Amino acid sequence: MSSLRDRIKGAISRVRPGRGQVPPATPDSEAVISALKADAAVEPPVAATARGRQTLLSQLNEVPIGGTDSMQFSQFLMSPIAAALAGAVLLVGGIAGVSAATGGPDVTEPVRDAVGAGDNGHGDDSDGGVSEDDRDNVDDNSGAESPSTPFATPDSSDDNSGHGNSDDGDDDQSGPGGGGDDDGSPESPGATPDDDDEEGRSPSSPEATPDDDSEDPPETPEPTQTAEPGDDDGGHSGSGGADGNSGPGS
Amino acid sequence: MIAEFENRQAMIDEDARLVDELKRRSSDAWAQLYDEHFPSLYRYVFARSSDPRLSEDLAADVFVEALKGIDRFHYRGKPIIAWLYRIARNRVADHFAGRKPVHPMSEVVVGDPGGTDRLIGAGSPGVTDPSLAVGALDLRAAMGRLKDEHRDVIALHYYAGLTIPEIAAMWDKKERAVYSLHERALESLCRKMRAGEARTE
Repeated sequence: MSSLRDRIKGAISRVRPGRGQVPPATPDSEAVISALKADAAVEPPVAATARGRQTLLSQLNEVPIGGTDSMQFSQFLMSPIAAALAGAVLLVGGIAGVSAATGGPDVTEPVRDAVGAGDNGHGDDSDGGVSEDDRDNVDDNSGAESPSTPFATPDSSDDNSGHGNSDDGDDDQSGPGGGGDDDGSPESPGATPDDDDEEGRSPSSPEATPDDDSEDPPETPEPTQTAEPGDDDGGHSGSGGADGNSGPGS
Repeated sequence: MIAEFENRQAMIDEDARLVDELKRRSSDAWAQLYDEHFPSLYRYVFARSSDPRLSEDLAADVFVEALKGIDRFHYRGKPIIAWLYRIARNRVADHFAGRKPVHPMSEVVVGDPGGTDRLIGAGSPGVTDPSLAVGALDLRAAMGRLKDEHRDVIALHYYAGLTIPEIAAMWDKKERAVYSLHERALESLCRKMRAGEARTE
């Protein structure tokens, strides 16, 4: 009975130890604690203490007050502002990358326009980068609504006339196409609303809806887009960067 | 409660003033910091390295590192010793990076007539009784096998002499968590010492 009481007492004292006090040790650990205390009774040699003190004080004048520029720069790198900036850049870059990869609009355009860094030469920017992706996308999703249509905004459609963000979503084919097609990417076959939906649709384009087709005709520039992939260069290069900018959307 | 708060506020003010002085390279402030904390830092490093000579050097290095980094230090109400112990911990870790601490027991040569002297000299500067010295070496061998956080809480509490609430404040942890960490560390140390004894038998 008494042992039970001791156990309960021990348990309670372990749960609610006094401030600054260590819970009472078990007999087993008492030996260890006393060994620790004996071992911790070491003192640094006086000579070593004095030597260290001397070294420290002699260095006082050698370390300049304020540190170096590199220190301040590293301080900046560690700051929350720098972290937030880096995060924002990564986020926008990631979204843009995903959008481009899936054949959606170039979402950095509205951002650039919003901050006043945008220009009308969208086609030029997108020429190189997007066209590669678009080539695949258009093949697959020709005539289908691009998965990235959610990014489309009324503003962006206005601005990026060539990027096909304008109202329907079907612009995406000509849109990113608009960017990419400038290079002559072979998305052009897919841009025709009718046939491409059937032909070019791959299993990877489940988003395609019949609605797209119905909305497509008025917007797609058929003559150039029905060109052969090989001709795209010519077909689109004619409109080239301008295609992206002033092509179908404008 | 109010007195406790006032005490804490006074300590914060005192530390803030000291940090200002340190940043101005006041030799008095640096001497004060050194005199107050060198012995406990030495013991802390000794607990983690088991080497008295190395502990002298590393503990002295802590202050030189602190001097080099004082301009980057921003006082936010946390005791300045927390910063010093962090530097000390990193210095020990850097020193042993890529290699294991040499346990003093490895310097004992069985059957060597001078073995006992060497054993005491190598491992236990504060212990003169040979049997106690052997016990201390067992203890340190067991400590060397502890998890890092267990070894740290034992070094800070028993060697550096900090209380559990002080350690908790230093680590930004709840006292309760540090109490239980301390308890687990002791249990683990007991187990490892028993295992060591069993191995030698």
